Amino acid sequence: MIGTIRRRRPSYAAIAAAAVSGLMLSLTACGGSSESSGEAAPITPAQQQLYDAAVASGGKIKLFIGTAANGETDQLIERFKQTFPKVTVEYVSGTGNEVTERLLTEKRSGLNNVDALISGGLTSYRQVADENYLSRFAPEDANLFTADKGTYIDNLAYSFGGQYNGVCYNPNNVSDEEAAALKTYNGWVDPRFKGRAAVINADGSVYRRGLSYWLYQDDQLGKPWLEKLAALNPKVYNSGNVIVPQVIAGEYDVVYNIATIYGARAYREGAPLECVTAERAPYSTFVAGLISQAPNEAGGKLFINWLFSEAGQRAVQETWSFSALRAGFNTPVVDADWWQTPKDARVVDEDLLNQRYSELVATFNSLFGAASK
Amino acid sequence: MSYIQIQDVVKDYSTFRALRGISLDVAEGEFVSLLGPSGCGKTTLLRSIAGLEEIHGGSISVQDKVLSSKGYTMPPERRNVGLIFQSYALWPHMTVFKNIAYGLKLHGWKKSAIAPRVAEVLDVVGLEGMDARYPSQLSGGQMQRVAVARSLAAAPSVLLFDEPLSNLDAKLRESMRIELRRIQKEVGTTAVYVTHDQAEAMVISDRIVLMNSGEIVQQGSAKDLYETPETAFAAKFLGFSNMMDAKVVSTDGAGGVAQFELDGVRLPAIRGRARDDVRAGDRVQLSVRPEAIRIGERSEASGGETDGVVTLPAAVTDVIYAGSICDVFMDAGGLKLRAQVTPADLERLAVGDGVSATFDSRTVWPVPAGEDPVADAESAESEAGVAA
Amino acid sequence: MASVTSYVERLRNKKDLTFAAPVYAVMLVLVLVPLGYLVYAAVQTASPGAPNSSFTWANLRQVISGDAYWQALRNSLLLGFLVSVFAVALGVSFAWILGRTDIPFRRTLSVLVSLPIFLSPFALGIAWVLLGSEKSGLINGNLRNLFGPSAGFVNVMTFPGMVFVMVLAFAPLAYLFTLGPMLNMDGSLEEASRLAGASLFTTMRKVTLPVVLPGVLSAALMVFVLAAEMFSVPGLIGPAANYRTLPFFIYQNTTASPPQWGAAATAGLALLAIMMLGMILQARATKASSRFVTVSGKGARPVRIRLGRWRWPLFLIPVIYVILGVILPACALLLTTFLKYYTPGLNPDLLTFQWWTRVAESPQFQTALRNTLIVGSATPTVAVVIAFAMSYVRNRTRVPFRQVVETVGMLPVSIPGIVFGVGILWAYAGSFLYGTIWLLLIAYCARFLPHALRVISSGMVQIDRGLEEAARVGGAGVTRTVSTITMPLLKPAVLSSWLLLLIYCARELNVAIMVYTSDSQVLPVLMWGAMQAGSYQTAAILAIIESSLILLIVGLATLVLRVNIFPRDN
Repeated sequence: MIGTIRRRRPSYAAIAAAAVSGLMLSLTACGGSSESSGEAAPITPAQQQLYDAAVASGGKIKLFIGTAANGETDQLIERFKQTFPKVTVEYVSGTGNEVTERLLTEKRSGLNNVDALISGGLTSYRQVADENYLSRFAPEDANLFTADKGTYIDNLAYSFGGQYNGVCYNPNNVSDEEAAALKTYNGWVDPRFKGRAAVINADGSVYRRGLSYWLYQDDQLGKPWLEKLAALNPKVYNSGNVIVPQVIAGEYDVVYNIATIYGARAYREGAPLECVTAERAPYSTFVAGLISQAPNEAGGKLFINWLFSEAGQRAVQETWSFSALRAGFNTPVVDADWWQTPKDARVVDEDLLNQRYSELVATFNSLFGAASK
Repeated sequence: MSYIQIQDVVKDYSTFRALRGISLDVAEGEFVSLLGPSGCGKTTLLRSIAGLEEIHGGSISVQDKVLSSKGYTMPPERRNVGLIFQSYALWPHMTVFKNIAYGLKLHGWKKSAIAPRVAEVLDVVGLEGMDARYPSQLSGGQMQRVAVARSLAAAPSVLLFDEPLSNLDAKLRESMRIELRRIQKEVGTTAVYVTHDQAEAMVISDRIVLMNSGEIVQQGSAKDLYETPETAFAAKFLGFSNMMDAKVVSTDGAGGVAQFELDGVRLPAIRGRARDDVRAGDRVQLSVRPEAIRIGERSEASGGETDGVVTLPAAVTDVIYAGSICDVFMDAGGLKLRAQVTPADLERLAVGDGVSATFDSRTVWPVPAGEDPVADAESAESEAGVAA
Repeated sequence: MASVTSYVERLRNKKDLTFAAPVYAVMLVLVLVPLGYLVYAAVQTASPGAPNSSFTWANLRQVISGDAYWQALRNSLLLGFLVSVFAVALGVSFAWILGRTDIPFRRTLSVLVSLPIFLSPFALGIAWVLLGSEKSGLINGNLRNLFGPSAGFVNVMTFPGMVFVMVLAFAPLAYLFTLGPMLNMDGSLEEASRLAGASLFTTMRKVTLPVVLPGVLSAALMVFVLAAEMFSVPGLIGPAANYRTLPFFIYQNTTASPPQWGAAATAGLALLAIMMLGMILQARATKASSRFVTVSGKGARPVRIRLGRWRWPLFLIPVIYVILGVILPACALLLTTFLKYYTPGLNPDLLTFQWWTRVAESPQFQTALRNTLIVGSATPTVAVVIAFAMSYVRNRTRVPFRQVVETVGMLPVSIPGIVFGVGILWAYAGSFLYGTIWLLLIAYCARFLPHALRVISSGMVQIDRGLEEAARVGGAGVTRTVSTITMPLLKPAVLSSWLLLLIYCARELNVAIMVYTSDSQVLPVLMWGAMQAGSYQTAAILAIIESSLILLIVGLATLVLRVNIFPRDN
């Protein structure tokens, strides 16, 4: 039993730990990841002022980020630091709902811990703004991001990146013919996908757009379609971050109602994941907003401005794989070959969405049960 | 003035009274034993002198300074007494040297004076050179000596011993008794010693205080207690005694002769020693020590007393060989007797033999008859869970 | 029973009381306040710290009338029961095989078999998700490669899979709990049975087992309580297996949108009641077990049982456990950390160091590691001091209510971690402590205090009072006696409980998941987040780092400092 050993033997624990520490130390020395491409971009005078102020306020920027893709977030932050090396960025991440709730709990308790909220869809921002926790701020060049009225709240929150909803599948387990079928919503519910599918919960802020748009815009779909989907016995998840690695690993063959940014990332890594959008691909955006009583207000503004700058938009595409929303920015997310941008993509109408939202979620939950995460 | 003055000390526990008005004076340099059965209050009294227990009445003073009284208990660390525990209580994480030096430091001894003093007391107890050892490296007897040395080091005014030899085996106990007495005499410190072993008390102390149920039954020299116990309890506690129920027929008064009629045997009255507090008509128990009884051939005499010698016809019921002293058990017409004989004598006897048991009437000592208090005391104490 | 005068006399002992009073106060704050707030939360409408909250019975109604709650409750109890039965069966067989028989490599095996205690059950769960997923698991993947497409039979993302992982995690605990009674048995009891004609196994069934039964029962109850209140593994596997337990139900309610704090608190109170019952029974069983101890110190030491032809078959049992519980998981975790993206096929092209680099450079990780180390070393220190003070009050003073001190101090054992976390959150949200790692310190102290209390109290009881009295008589006041005599003699107990608490704190998730904020993340929370994010590589790296840290510290302490982290109380 532990503690009564008397023979002299090498401490396996010590050896193992030494090996691990040695490994870690050598890795740390290795430097950055292979994906960062980077020269520092030119800094505008306004940004320089904010930079100096941010460093003077302690040099730490705190973000709440509504996606659990920490690996990609870390890469994004690396790109930011190539231009602004003297500040550190810390963040708390989770699904949009989680992060918003945590922010609200902390703010209500009087904790002023966050500089900016970066999350999907405007609904969270309306919620936060209603309790007066958003600061009035418009990023530099905000006017280049206001093409679509449904993507910003004036002076409070602006969208900087977008994504489509569709299907991601593992090409090793899905035949070409099946893949072609996935281009139509009827193809999604084909019985041959029974037991091979996962679906993203309709309650996620981004994903509710996906289902709600065509479910309630198209009378041929709606509840009967949802029932056919339920008949496939799919596992339900709250976010793509959890399910995508499982699709890549082969645990599931297809996942429905998922953002296609995952496909972009997988493509860069050479992982077996491909995407396709069906008709009328819904489109949703990622938003940034400055939080009230931010501990490092200059830092928050600095980061948000950067996201909206050209260098930032490029970083957003290359790391997070969102489509840049800056007017005049024409670089494709990855390269032109990886998939075909859908022709009739449209941003979801928030008002229409909010009318039918709770009904959709109720129907969805009754058919599929709560998410298994 | 006596060195230690204990006046009317009373101590209560929640369910009973452990000390019922104890008064005792101890002279300077005296070695006093508190003797008694489990639960009689001797350890409680000792610990009260040490300040580890409070008292609820009376007072305890040393050299005219009051240490304990009702509502006041001077903390033990200010009393300058030494206490030697049954379990030695040597601190296992300190060497012998550190164990002894501990108290010296606290009593303000200068650093340069400590080492010589430690050596001195180790010398007194016969353990020179052992100062670097740890308690785990010592034998039982050695540990006991270190405990004594530790208590002696700071020159306490009183040395208290709490059954220190109970954990040693028999042979060691015997030699240690004598050692302890030697040490005490050499150093001259007043000592109070608690024990339940009457042989030990008799060997080691100048004076014995016999206690039972929270009271002092008798105090005096070993000889006093052995030869003239005041009660049946005292008679039975110190050594073994043959007890015979009898009635006082007449008495001369203290120092003189009394006549007794034995119960249960049809014999004429026998003579024995008289006491002041035993009057004609009183019921008594006659105490005769086994070593006083001689065993002889059965004679035709039917028993009784002649010329100061009491003869009782008896039949041998058991013989026990126990080395230098052997026991013979007899039945004298219903009276159970026990005698001590030499091995040579034992050889002549066999179970069933008819013999005469004879003893001098000067060895007959009366004690008042009454209930046996010993058994009651034991059960009461064990209920309270007090280790006395 | 005490007379009035003696009670009054005890109250006059003012010095003791001035020392005991702060101890009582600390206890109240640590333990009773969060519990009180839990009750408060159950009947409030809003979130902790929110300004406009009002009284309501709605939460209670909602929880009781909802199906989900009763299902979760049933699930927790069933899970606790099954895990307990199997883990104890396994643990007892280890105790018998390793402690009493003559199988080879006993010493090595007893070390290896105990290892999972120090490693986090959550890490074990992660490893088995990687190993045992139906389509993407390492085991099935390789079985399919070897034997064809239908060869994969393992599926850990099921209820039996959850039980399996938890049994692996708890068997060592059952082993350590029953080893003592097994070894302390009087060997002549068994010898008498053999001489009477009973075979080896009959003897074990009819003599050995009944004698160690109280100890076994105590271990079973302990495992039941721990399994039923566990959050990490059922949270990991449960949803996919469609088996939701009560801790997960509580967690889900707090992370729903909008969060249902009232429901969470109500469910928490229910779980608490069950756990308390379990702990009371366990304490009774332990007391009974100590009455059953047959060795007196001078009795016969049990003789090693010769197994003969059963030697190698029985040898396999602990070996298979070590493979399933230590070796395979360690390999799976290590392998995963080097995979570009997770897949069961072992493709050399996929090997990369990038994940290690990312984690090492990530400020999240560095902060979490630092926080874990700070809280992991500060908490044991504070808890040990409090435990010492409480033991002293209990064993060496005569202040009123001192027995209660120990009972209340042991209370947190029966409070499920996640429930306690909800209570702490409610108690401290809005205070200056919220959001700091000091809140974690407070929560951890309260949660793990019972373990320190148990060890230190039993150590103090074993110190002969005479040693302290001798110091008093020798001239030392109370404080000096405590510092020069009592404390040094308690050193082994203090060290071992300090280390034990360090291990518990380093891997604690149940409370942290409720209480952490952006500033106070710790490694296990990061691990949970990584699994939630589907980043297996990161989770595996963190699991390896956490386990290595713990192993390193335990190895150092055990082999170099000779500290015995699980002292056998005999």
